[in-house]
Amino acid sequence: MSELVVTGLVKSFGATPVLRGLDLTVPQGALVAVLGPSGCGKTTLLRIVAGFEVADAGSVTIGGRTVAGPGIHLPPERRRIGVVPQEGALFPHLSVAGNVGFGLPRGAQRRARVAEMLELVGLAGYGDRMPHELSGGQQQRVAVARALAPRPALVLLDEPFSALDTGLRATIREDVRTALHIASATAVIVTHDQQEALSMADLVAVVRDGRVVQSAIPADVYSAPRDVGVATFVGDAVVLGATARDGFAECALGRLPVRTGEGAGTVVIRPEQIVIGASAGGVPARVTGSVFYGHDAMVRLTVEDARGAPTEVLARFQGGDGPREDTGVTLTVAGEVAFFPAAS
Amino acid sequence: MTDHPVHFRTIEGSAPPATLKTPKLKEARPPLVLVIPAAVAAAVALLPLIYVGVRASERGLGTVIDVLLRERTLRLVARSLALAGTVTVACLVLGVTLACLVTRVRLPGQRVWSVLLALPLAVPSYVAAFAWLSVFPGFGGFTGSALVLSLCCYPYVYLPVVAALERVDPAMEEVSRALGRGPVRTFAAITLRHCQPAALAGGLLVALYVLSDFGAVALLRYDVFTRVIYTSYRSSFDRTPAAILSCVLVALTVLIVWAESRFRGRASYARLGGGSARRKTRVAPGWWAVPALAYCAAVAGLALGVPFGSLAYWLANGASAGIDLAELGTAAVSTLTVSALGALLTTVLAIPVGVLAARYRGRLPRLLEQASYAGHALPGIVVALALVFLSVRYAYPLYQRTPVLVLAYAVLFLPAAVGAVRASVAQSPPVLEELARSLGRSPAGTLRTVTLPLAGPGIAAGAALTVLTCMKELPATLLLRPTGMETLATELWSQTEVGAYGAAAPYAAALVVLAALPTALLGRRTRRMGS
Repeated sequence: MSELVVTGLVKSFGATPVLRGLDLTVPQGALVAVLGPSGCGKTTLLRIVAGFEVADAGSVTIGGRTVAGPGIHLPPERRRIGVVPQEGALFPHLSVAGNVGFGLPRGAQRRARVAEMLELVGLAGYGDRMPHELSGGQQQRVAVARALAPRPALVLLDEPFSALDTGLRATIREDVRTALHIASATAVIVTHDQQEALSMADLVAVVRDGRVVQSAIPADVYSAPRDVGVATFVGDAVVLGATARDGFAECALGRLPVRTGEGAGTVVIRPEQIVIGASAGGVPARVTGSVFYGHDAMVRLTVEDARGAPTEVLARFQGGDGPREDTGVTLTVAGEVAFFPAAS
Repeated sequence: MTDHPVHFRTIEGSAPPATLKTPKLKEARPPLVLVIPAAVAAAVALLPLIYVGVRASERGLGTVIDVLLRERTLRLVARSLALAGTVTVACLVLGVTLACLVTRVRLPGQRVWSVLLALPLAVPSYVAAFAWLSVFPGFGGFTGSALVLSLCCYPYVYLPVVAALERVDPAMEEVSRALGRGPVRTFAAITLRHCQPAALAGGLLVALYVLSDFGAVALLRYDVFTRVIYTSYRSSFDRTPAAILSCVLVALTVLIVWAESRFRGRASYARLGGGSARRKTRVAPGWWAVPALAYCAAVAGLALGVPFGSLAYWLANGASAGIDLAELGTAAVSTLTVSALGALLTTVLAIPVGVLAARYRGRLPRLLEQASYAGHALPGIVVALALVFLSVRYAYPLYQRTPVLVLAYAVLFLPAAVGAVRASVAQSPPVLEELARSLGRSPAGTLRTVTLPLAGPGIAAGAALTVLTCMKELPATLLLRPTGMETLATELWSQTEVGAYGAAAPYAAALVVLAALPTALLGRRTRRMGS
């Protein structure tokens, strides 16, 4: 398994630019999630790396070998890249074993390798089934086994779980992650699902308008986003106008600790940082509504900002469905918040 | 080809993929393993067209102008267009009215009617002509040809209009009623409007069929292009006039194909998305059921009753005179042999073109696909003539041998075969082929292990249809069949020409059975899809 380095990738479809100089580095053995909204160019990136599409400019290097670049375009069959597309896309005319063994040379070792891969994805003994006899989750597992079987240098997963229902998704994500780690695969997973990216990946690369805006470990992307756009994309956020000075930002929720920054700007607070209390010693707020999710509830409240204008904030409430509408509460903020100076 | 060009740019004018997420068509340059055989297929398809042109202009421009400006040529154009126009209008009237009756009126036995009224499609025009001639020996000329061709061709309008009427969303009609339009105005403004593209496309198919039809007009002795080309070829050593007339006929059909493709392009915009599962309402006709039923019965009687009745009569009479079963068997075997060979060559040539068309865009694939459609605009008699010229001059040992006939079938039926391959390849998502590539298969290996196995059933069905189409083919078989070989179609032709209707009847019956097979299969498939 090897390192993937993508440099200055540019690609347009007709007059529509899709990638505008995209850079991405995936360390050997790491699982990187490329996270972005639909149409940001993440699938195009994946297709160029796989060799299905030719870039207008830029280069792709896998383990030091340039597979795409000026004057070079290695056909897909010579790149040693495993691909797991959306909804699995198993070959419908081949059995499970036929699918997993598709990329393996003929010979005695083929059977052994197929059995080994099926065991890895938890489908030992399913080799004779046909794809239509499997559930969606099982099909996706076979697709992963098929991609890993030829020991590829790199595995690309294109929104592989988006077609599965929510309950199944969490289990299969975990299983696929384990399978990738056992195979010590370098892998790129493309997704628009923030939870998927944050929970599965070693590194998250946030893509916007054909560029990587931030590439960091999941915790950093969540708690120290590069800008307000990244902050609001990777999770629920309360965005408030603020003035920062001496490591603190003054905003409608009081004086909050920030890591860096001076002057006018905005703070981004995660709803789980906002604690609802009945006692004094916080910012007074009024409950305007709440949505109950079971494991927690999202409570909508209004506070008054410095000029006395009402401002809406969101708070995550654990244990129960939250305070009743129209009750008065007080809010405190736990931990450091992210501050972004206003663009000058 | 394994290496791709360094910087492949989209050809100007080709639209960006509809969704960037899963582009339907590859941008990469198509591999040579497809391009080279597709180019061969395109060349085969264009060969007759080019050669007829070459042959027509051989005697110089003077001869061309001379033949073109003959009063007889101009009369011929007028007569061909008059016949095509008359039959098209008649088919539009018959097809649309019958389709409305069958889909929108509560008639006794409506299921039976809807099947019966589609069946004339299974009667080859020259078989129908034979049937009418054998009942009314003096039958023929413009009226006779127009009647026979209309009765054979109206299903080309009837079937698509029925399909379009079935697709009309009842909600659309309900909205129109709620907005204050009465049932009749709603029917005219919404329902008929909706099936107009289908009717027009069907009408243009009819016009094309009439222009290229040889069997019916030849038997009914009405001089239009195809018949005159044939007699001019048969009766004179100078074959240049036949070639020039062929060019004019090709020009006319090209005009119609062009018109048809324009209409088809627009028609697809008018089509609805997912159909509604709701049942369409039918009008209870009251006493109007009597004339409605009489109308359906009259059309079915003329289009089916006359051919089948006369066939039955002659078979019964012929049986007493003794049917030459040995001769019938020989003809059936040779028909099957040349048709199977024709379908084989057609399918082999169609596969690369169809795969290219389904999977790659850009100028080259489009050009090759369009070239392979040349047969669509080439009447059988023209292809036959071109191959006669070619083989006599450049491959005399092959003249009137099986390979030339098989080649003619390939040219004529390549468009339908390419369509079948294209449709069945397009059914499986391109991502499967990309996966095969990333799992280490070359373009040729991907074609062999993924594309063709997946498209196999569709391609095989297309090939089976081609066999049946070859069996019915008359003009090319007549001109190119190997010396001494008779097929079902040529036997029918020669016996009818000398008035031996009883002897012709078994061949006609055999042909009708063969021709009915695909219609029956098509019907079964439609019913399965409907349920």
